[in-house]
Amino acid sequence: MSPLQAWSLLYGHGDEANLQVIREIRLPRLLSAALIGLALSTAGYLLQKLSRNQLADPYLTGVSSGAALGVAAAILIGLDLSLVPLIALMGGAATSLLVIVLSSRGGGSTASVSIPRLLLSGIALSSIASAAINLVMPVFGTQTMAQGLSLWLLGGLSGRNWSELLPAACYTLPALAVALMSSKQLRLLSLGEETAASLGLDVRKSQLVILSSAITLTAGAVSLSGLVGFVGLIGPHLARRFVPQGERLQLAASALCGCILTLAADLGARIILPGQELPLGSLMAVAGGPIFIYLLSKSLDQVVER
Amino acid sequence: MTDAQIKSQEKVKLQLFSLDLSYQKVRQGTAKQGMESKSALPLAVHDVSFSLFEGEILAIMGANGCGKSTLLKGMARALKPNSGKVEFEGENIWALSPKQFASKVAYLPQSLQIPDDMKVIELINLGRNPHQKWWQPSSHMDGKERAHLAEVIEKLDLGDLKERNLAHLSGGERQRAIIAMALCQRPSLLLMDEPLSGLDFRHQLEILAYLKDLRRDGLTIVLVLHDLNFAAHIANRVALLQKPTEASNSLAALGVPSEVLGSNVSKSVFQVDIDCIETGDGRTVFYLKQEKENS
Repeated sequence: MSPLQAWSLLYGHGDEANLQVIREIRLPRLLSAALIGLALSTAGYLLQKLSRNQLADPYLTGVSSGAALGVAAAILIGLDLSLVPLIALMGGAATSLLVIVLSSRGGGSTASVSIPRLLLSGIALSSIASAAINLVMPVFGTQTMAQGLSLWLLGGLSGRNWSELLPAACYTLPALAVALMSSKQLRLLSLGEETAASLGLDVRKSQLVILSSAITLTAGAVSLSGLVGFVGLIGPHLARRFVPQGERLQLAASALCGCILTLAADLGARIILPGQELPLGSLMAVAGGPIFIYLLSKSLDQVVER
Repeated sequence: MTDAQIKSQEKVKLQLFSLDLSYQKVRQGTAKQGMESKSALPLAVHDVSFSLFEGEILAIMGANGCGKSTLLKGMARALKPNSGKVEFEGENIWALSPKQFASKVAYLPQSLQIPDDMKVIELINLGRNPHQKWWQPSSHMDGKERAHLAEVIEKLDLGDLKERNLAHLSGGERQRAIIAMALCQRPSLLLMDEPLSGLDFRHQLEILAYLKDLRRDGLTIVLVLHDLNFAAHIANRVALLQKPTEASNSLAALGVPSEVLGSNVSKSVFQVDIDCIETGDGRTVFYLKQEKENS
């Protein structure tokens, strides 16, 4: 379909088959790409701010490996493939909740989420989950199953339709709204937990709200597209470059940058090799990696210090 | 003015009832290993009771590690008491929500973690958080708050620094910005942990002058101080702390600076020979007695 054809379709001309393609295939795919970019980049920004570390990424809380474990189990049991998004969502969310429980500090005045512990338990649980997949898949799975899983892990959007997009949008968009409204809380937390509390912030509640928002966003994205890396790292980074100050603006800019990045990458995935589709996650990493290294080399000191 | 005189004249702002506090780290360790037998008392602050009266400036003093900051945290709702309680205007501070408490009491810890991309005005605006709804941005304010902000900025002489980055300010300027943030909470009680540390002599005096000024506006102030003469200069009363033991509580003495700081208790707490002279204008100046040879 040429751009001209698509254009005329927008105004109600052109043939029915093309309209069908746009309405049922292209549009949901476009919106899916936009949604996962939005979600991953925003989640990345939230986690980077919470952990005061610009190298934090949305998969930090174990969402990705939990989702992968869930999907691996689903494939092994032979569940219907249409259930994969739901299972990925549940696996990711369950792992993240476990990570939060593990990193919650005991009661009393200092009740809050320990961010260093969050990072460490996230890493530990991720390793356990990937190891479990690697142990179980070759023993119980067939070649096809393993291939199916690795395809899913690579991340991609081919064949996404409204029935997958709409449920994901239903919980991702509210989480995004919460994220955008938590900019003041992020700023207060950046003064340190004690000062934030003395300024009237319920530290534990704010941390949990922000973390849940990040997890919901990430799990939603993973359920839709598998593991698409780097957006959550580069999106916020670009946003900080364009918008040097102001949490709320930076959050919005992160969402926008992530959106543009995935749209571009998905477009690339479809058109670089005509007639063949490249995995979105791999393409993002191949193109995003060098960009990220370039950005790092220009501002390494800042990244490490902040 | 004696302790009894203050008591008879003024309203109780904050009251401590045999407060026990322990260091955050020790608490978990002792529970597991039963270290009570080893160290005499795992409590940082033991059995402290006193009343703080409206409009007074109280200086908390004592040697390093005697629990000054811990006591202040206990008063600031930053550390839960092991036993005993703290009441603010007759209400247990832990029965109040963080927001309710923060709209009445401002607490400035010894050092504030400040992100390096934060502007002065941004920090000051965060002080209004206890009066805002959670979704309102920190810059949100009504007409009254706008006037109050202008007043605070004027009083602390921050007009020219408003748009500057906090990381680029000098220690004195930053301290002023932090105090401005606390004032935007519109507290009636201000708790400060060593507000003068790291400042040169002139700026120390400047901050003290601000605090005196604030007291005139009706603010009650508690501050941890090290310098006896500053304490005598600014405080109505001094709470002298000592390391608690089984036999004694944390509060070694409480009273008017000239009496408490010149006493034998003060000498034993600081473990130096302090003496004082009365100056002609009614002030008391503390100094260290010359050590005699071979004694």
